[in-house]
Parts: sequence; structure tokens; C-alpha cells
Amino acid sequence: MNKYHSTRSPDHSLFNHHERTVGFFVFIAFLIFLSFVVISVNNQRLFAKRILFYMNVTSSEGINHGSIVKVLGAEVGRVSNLALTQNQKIQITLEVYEDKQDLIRQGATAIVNRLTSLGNAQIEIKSVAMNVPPLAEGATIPVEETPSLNDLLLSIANLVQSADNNNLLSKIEKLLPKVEQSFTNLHDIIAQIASGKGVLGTAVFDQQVEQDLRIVVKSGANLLTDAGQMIQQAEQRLQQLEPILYDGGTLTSELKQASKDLPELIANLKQTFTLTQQALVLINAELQDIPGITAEARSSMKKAEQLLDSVQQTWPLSVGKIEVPEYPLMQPQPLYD
Amino acid sequence: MINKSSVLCLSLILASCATQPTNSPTHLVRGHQLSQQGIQAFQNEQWVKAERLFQQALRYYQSVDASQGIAHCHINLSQLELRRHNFEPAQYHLKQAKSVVQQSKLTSLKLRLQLLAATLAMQQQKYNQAETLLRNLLPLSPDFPAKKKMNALQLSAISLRTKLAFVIQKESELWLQRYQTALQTSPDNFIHQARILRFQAQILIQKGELTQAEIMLHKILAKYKKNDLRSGIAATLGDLAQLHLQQHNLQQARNFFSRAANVYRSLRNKHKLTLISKQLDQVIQAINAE
Repeated sequence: MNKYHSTRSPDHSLFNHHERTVGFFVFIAFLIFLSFVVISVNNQRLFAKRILFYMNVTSSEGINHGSIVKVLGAEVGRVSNLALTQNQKIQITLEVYEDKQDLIRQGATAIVNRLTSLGNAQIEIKSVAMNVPPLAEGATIPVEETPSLNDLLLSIANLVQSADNNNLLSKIEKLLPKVEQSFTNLHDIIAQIASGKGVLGTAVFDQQVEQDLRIVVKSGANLLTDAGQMIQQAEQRLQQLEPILYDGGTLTSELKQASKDLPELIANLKQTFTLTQQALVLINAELQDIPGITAEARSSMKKAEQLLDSVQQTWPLSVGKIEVPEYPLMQPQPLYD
Repeated sequence: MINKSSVLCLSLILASCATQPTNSPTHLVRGHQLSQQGIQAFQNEQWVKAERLFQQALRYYQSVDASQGIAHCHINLSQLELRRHNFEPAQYHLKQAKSVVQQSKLTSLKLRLQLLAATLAMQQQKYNQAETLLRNLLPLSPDFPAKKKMNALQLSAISLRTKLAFVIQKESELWLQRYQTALQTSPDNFIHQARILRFQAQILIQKGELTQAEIMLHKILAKYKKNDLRSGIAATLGDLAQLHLQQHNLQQARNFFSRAANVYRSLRNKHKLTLISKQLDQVIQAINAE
């Protein structure tokens, strides 16, 4: 028996036990309700000070009163108004919480992404640099808009329809494993070449081979130059022989008869030597370009690797690829003192 | 009754389906977010907040063993501590960063580490060591600085080297000229522009043109105030105090030292606050003696 019961009988109390229990639960329920209200007020930042920014979009699809505005993935404000401007655009009023204003710097752009979830557009503000002053209140933020999901679906539907008409999808389906295998093979080949294996790999990446090639090309070029000089000398000798051969006609009639065609022969020979010389000059130039060609082959290999990577990042080969963003690092700064 | 409750349940299920799913960020992404926020806090000169954010980011990176993230966090923390003149923590983070960079072969960060080491040596008044480290960062050619755009690291290195030239009083004008030429490639960099103006004011003081120097320092102070750069404001107030002390304007010197101390107090820079307070005490003693 407690003090209450000891002094007053249950009949004389204002509330009986049952009523008190009910009252207690109602009071607890009220407290819970109150805490929900407080949490809700805090979450919705009902009493937070706000700063207005504006942006002009071509379509308000997916943007509603109360749509969330984000910076670096964190909520910084909400859309408070939509109005039609005179140049047929829609002016969106953004209410940014005062304590988050620092996150929006001069030169910031707003990205309206309509591909996040059905019916809702995500408004993300990106600042180019953080070492510039914050954007002034009332400023209009330039906008980059993505097409809506409906637009994309419509274009994809058209694409699928046309592909289906040509029975392309089933062909692609059959082809995909082979393409994937081919890419794997290509990667392996490039890796082999890059590691200097195989004839091509050795030719392209082995420094020793390159040096040897340079020596061979150089000596080849010297040889060809010497050959050219020899041909020139031979030509000179023939020119010197020409009058002697003409004089030979007086010695014997047979010889005269035989030497009848000699001028034409010499002319032909001259032409042949000239052509040979030109050909040698061309070959010489080509041979000198070989080290350059190996360098170009290397750069082509790198480009092919990049191309393969970018193709593999494109749907449908991109499945399972994880993109790792950059690690933030502060810019070096001068000392103030 | 059953119908009503089932309708309620169904509506609740539908409502829960309609809401957006919460994307819980991975440790790596969370590390990036915290680092980014830390950098913002650093830019706003909120050192305590920046330190907390960098430390949190570091823990996230450590939890997934992201070497590059760990190295970046230590570098950020080292630079932060250098700005606060906390030499021991700065040295600790620099050492940690070096270790990670060596182990993970992050060669691209080596120059950055050298710059941090040079800055630390400079602040600890180890001028020979600072000069040696800066020599590696600024390989001088006859046409130095080159006309091509210098990056932030090179600009900071040349700024530090100019400061060193002023401290050791050797080739200060030459280095200032080099610094100015280097900045011509990035003319919109306010922090470096203001630093050059302060060096120019120092040259005027050396030449005895004190009035001109004072006018220039007041202009720089106005610019720092406009850009809300408290470190710059404090340093310029310190410069003005020194200028007045040189002219034996003790009341003015006390005024500027006191204002500089207030700014350093707001920045929670204990090292600089102690130095300024000592000078302020000496000035007050001199005033009382008069």
C-alpha cells in the first residue's frame, strides 16, 4: 500500500487505476507525437534561413515545388517557385539554406538530371573552384539539362523497333560473346606486344631491336648512297666511251654495222640509270623513316588500347565496370607570413 | 475490418515503394566527400573543422586501404598544420605521407612532398635545408621562368624561394622579379598577386620609402579584407605594425599588433599569437617607459 492509498480510499480519488493507465499512455503518445514533430521540423529545416538563387530551364519536367537541390550529394536547399519567363523559359527559384551558401561558388553551374528516378529530376550544383568567393544572393546559375527519361525511352523504343525490323537484336545477341572474346584476345595481344613478346612486340618495343634497326638503316642508306655514286661514275664512263665506240666504225665494217644501234642503247642505258637513281633515292628516304614508323606504331598501340577501354565502357560491354573517382587533394598555397 | 487493415497495409507498402531509395555511400566515396568538405573548410580558414574532416576522410580511406587517398589526406593535414604553424603534427603527417608514397610508388606526389618539406624547413628557420629542397623544385635555366604556364606547385615553390631570399637578404629583388614573371602566366591568382605586392612593400621598406610602403600595405589589407582572407589580413597587420615600430610610432605599432593578435586569435594560430603577443608586450613596455 502506498501513501496515496493509505490516506485516501480508491473511491475518493479523482481517477481510478484504469483511467490513470489510459492517461499515462495518452501522455506518452503525445510525447512521441511531439518528438516526431520536432524531428520533422528539424529534417525539413522549416525555420532555417534561406537564400534565393535562380536558374532558367527549357522544360520543368521532373522539377516540382519542393524538389531537392544538392551540392556534392548533400541537400542544400529546395525549389520554391516555378515561373514562366518572357523568352519562353521557366525560371526556377532555388531556396538554399544560409549555412550551405559557402558550397556554391562563383562560376557554379546547375545540372538538371532527369534520369535519376521516375518523375523526379535531380538538381545538382557544381562549383568549378572552391578558392573563389561564394555566389552572391539572387544570382542566376547557368544550367545544363539532360534529356528526360521519356525522351530517351522514346528514342530507344524507335531504335529497338528499327533494330527489330531488321532482326538485328538476335544477330547482336549471337555476336556479343564473340565480340567480348575478341576484345579479350585483343587485350592479350596488346599486352604481349607491350611486354615486348612476339615479332611485332620485339620490333615495336625492344630498344635493342630499335637500335639495331637504326644501325642497319643507316648502313643501308650509306650503301645506297655509294651505289648511287657508282652508277653516276658508270654513266660518266659510258659517256666517255661513246665517241670511242663511234670511231670504232671506221676500223671494221662489221664493227660499224654492230655499233649502228649503240647510240640508242646508250640512251636507253642512260634513262635506266636515271630511273634507278630516282628509285634508290625514294627507297633511301623510306628506309630512313623506319624508326619513325616504329614510334608511330607504339602510339597507335596506345590509342588502340584506349579505344578498347572506351568501347568496353559503353553499354552493353560495360556491365560490371566500376568507376573510381579522383582523390581530392588541396592545391599548394604560398605562405602568408 | 480485415479489408480496412489490408487497405492500410497496401497503401503503406505503396507509399514506401514510391519514396526514393537511400543510396548509402561506399567508404571510398564517403572519404572523397569528407576530403572535399575538408578542402572547403580549409579555404574558409576553418582549421579545426578542416582537421576533423580530413581525419575522418583518412579513417575512411584506411578502412579500404586506399593508398592514394591516405597519402592525399596526410598531405592535406600536413599543409593544414603548416598553415597553423603546428610543426610537430605537420612533420608527422609529412612522414606518414612519405612512407605511403614510397610503399605505393606514388611518384607523382614526390614533388608535392618536397614542397611541403621545404615549407616546413622554412618555417623552422632551417634555411639551408629549405634552399636545397627548393633547388630541386625549381631547376633554373637561363630563360627561367619559362613563358609556359606554371602550375600551382611551381608558383608556390617560387613564392617560397622569394620569401627565403628576403629572409636571408640575398638576391631578393631578382627572385621577386622571377616571381612576377612567373605569375604573368596566371594573372588571375589573387593570393599570389597579393603576396607579390607585400614583397614589393618590403622592398620599399628596405629602400627607406616608408610612406609609399605604408600606402601599399593599406591597399593590400583592403584587398585581403574584401576577399575575407584572415591569414592575409593578420600578416599585413603584422607588417604594418613592424613598419610603425621601425618609425618609432609606438602607439600605431601597438594598435596594429593588437589587431593582428585578434585575427590570429580567431584563427586559433597559437604560434603566431604568442609571437605577436610578445612583440605587443615589448611595445607596451616601451610606451610605459616613455
